[in-house]
Amino acid sequence: MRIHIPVLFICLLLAGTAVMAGTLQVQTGSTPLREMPSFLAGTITNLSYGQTVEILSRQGDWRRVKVAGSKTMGWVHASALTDRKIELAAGDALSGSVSSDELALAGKGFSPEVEAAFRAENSKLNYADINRMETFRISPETSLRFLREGGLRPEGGLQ
Amino acid sequence: MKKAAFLLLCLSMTFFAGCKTMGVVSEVGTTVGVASGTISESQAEAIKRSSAALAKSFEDITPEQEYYIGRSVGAVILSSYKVWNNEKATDYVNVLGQTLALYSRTPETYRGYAFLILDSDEINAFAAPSGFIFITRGMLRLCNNETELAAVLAHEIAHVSEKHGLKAIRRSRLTTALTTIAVEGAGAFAGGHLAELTEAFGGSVADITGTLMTNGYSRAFEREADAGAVAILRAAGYDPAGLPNMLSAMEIHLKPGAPDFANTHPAPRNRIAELRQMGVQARTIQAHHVRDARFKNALGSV
Repeated sequence: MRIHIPVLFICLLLAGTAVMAGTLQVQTGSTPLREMPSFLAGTITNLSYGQTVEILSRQGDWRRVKVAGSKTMGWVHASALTDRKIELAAGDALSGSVSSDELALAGKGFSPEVEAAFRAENSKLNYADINRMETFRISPETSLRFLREGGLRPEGGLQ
Repeated sequence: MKKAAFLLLCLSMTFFAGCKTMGVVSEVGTTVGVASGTISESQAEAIKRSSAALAKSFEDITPEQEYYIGRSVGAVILSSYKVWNNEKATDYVNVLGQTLALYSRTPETYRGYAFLILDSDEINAFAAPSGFIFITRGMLRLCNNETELAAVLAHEIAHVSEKHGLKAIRRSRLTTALTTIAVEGAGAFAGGHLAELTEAFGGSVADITGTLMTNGYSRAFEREADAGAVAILRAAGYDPAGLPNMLSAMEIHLKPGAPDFANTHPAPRNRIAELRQMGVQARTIQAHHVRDARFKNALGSV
């Protein structure tokens, strides 16, 4: 039994670290890092799925963050972030530091591979237009202009 | 073996401390795994102990999983309807719809919201999970102005925010699907998981498309989507009266028994009554030269 005590100690230590860490990961395909806490604000850069950020402060549903491994800072909407671990190496076996619930986020499960298998069984489905839909992206500048020209006064103002 | 189990238990404790959501995994997946010989008893126990809220409910579906379900639900809808390829109209509906989505409860989905017009005289609209939204030309023709179109789009966006599509997946299917994903994630399946996942995936997609296209949501879900639409319209600066206005138009034009909105939605007059209780009543939308001009320019030929 003695042999296990150091193991137990290390695990408890790791547990503490996990609770204290103020880092989150992007859980959407990509999300803009914005200059201000508003969907109408300018974009500094786009963060990609799984990218890690450190939380600096919060304002409502917005988080001021620093991109891990860089000095870049900006605002991200909280709904694009998760505290569940995202492992990007899909197809890898469970690594020592990730629990199985966290792996539900690991690009496994309902994945391109599953979609391809489903498509193979249902050849008449129209994915071409779904792919086309994904290219219909409206910029914050376009939304801002649309609201302003339309004389609309949204909550939070026009900035 | 005991040593390994102890190590797993220690690791489990680590995970428990690091996770906010806790729960007990359903017995289903691990029992299946053990019975089929793909995982051992001790592995099953370890998965049960270390996993938090594994296969609990639709809330455990991640934005990425929701996105893949939404794509396929959309692909099924588009196999029954032709697309109306009018660039000007499609652009306009996307600028309006995606701007409204910024004021919804879920402004950020995995790949964002997108809107497509269906070349059909039916009066109908569908929202697939993750933000794939479809509206028929028949429905567009009922809209007199931008505010009324905004009301229809906001109602569909609210269905996405409330995850009504995902809630249409049968509970037993969801449990099996999420447990399969979890057990796969733990590296316990040597192979064959793709077939099981694909079956669960296809079943989930069928549950949702059956609800959207044939059975309709419950009256409670429609009320929730109407309330969500009113909140979006107000936040974006539109008159929420656009919604009861549209419902009044539908009351006149919907044919009972037709394979459209009438078949899958509560009677418009009931929804109008419920909106009145929320303080929203039909009334003439105030004219606005820019909004009216861009609406007519984009949808004049619909």
